[in-house]
Amino acid sequence: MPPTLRTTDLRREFGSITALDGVDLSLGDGEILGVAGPNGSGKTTLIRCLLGLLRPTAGEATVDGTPTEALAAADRRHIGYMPQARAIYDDLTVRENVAFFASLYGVGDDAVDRALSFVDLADRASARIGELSGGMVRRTSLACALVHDPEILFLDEPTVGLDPKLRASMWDGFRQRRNDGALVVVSTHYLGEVSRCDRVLFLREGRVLALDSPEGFLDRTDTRDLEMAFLALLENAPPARGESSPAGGEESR
Amino acid sequence: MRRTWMRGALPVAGRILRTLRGDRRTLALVVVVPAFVLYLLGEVFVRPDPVAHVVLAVVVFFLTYILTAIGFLRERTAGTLERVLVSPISRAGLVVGYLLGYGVLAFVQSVVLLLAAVSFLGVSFANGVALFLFVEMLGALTALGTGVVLSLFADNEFQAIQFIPVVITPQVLLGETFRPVSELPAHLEYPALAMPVTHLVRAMEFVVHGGDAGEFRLAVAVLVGFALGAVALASVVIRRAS
Repeated sequence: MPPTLRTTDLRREFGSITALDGVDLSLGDGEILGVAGPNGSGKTTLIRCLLGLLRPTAGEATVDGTPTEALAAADRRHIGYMPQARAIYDDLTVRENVAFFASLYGVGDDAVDRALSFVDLADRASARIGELSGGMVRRTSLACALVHDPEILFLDEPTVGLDPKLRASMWDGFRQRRNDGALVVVSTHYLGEVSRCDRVLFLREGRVLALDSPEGFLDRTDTRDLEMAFLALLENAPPARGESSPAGGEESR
Repeated sequence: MRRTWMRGALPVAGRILRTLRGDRRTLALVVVVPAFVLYLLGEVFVRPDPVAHVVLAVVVFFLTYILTAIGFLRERTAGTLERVLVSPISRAGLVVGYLLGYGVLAFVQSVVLLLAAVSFLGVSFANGVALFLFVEMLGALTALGTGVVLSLFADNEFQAIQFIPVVITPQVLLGETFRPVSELPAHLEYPALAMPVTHLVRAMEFVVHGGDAGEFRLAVAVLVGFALGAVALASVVIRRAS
């Protein structure tokens, strides 16, 4: 059965700040969902709620019907996570890092070899993390996230700081996982990248601005690229919290 | 499910030991520093034997606390802890993994202290070397749990170091190092008895100089209680979801 992800009226507050506000989402079958939006729009908070690392203030997030904060070990075996931070051990080699996460998921050396080949780091497997370029560090982190061949893969800004060639190569990898049946959730603030996703969730200040396919966005905004589509959606959207509309401003004068 | 409660402990312990292989400063802290401290003590005191048990108790507690608190804090701030908690590991497994990994280090440190105590301080261990290693490991386990718990209340390495004057220094001052606890004013006697270093020093005094076996057993029982309590508390305060 393909994995499913759902959020219902998901809300998360940090003190007086509302990071997510009424997010409804339903994902099934193998697909890539891009989570896009400016810094502070709630992308990482959404992923952390879906992983069970943050408890919702209200509403619910579920993986295969189970609330994410109550996921059992058996559920967690099917989930992979690449955080925004490098989140690997600098004093270990590439292979030791990947092998450590492999052992947490109970998979062996074959899986480590496959993951290293997937991220094209087999020839640098014995290098320490401190000796690697930023791109290689990100690829090691990706290998740690998918070494156990997860059905659901969460990638938080996986391509930040990478050159275009490497970004393209990583996206090819994500699509390959999707073609193998995985559900891939990728956050990014590079709007140009989200055209590679099957569907895109645009967030603004914790609210869903729109959810559609890249082609759907271009059609309905009559624009040529997703950056322009996002700007058009922003113009047509109701004002964000604490933001008065230009019309209202005129009236008050 | 088999061994559910400690799922992930062995990979974590192995990871800690492999990480240290590439971390020469920490290795030096474990192997070189204890020997150097005991060497200095041997040079400063004409008769170091009477204070040897205090130094042997305090050094292992202090160094193990620093190693664990900083190690666990790094895990949190680097984002690896969160990543590990997303995996199928159990929280107790994570803590037990830390105990095993740093426990091996504490054992190595205890052996170094043993050799240094014999070489530089002329300590003879009235109740045998095996008992010395046992008490050192108990002290290390208590410090391990303390380090993990306190590191959860620190946001950076500097804050973890700031706990030293608050948590370690009072124990060293009151823990039967300079005066017997029974001679302290009443308002300090009870806090002193609630501190693990007090019982660690008492147990070590028996190991090095001999004395009342009943008091030794009591000190060991209290230390076991502290160690189990600290480990249980660490397992509880590490939360997957916040």
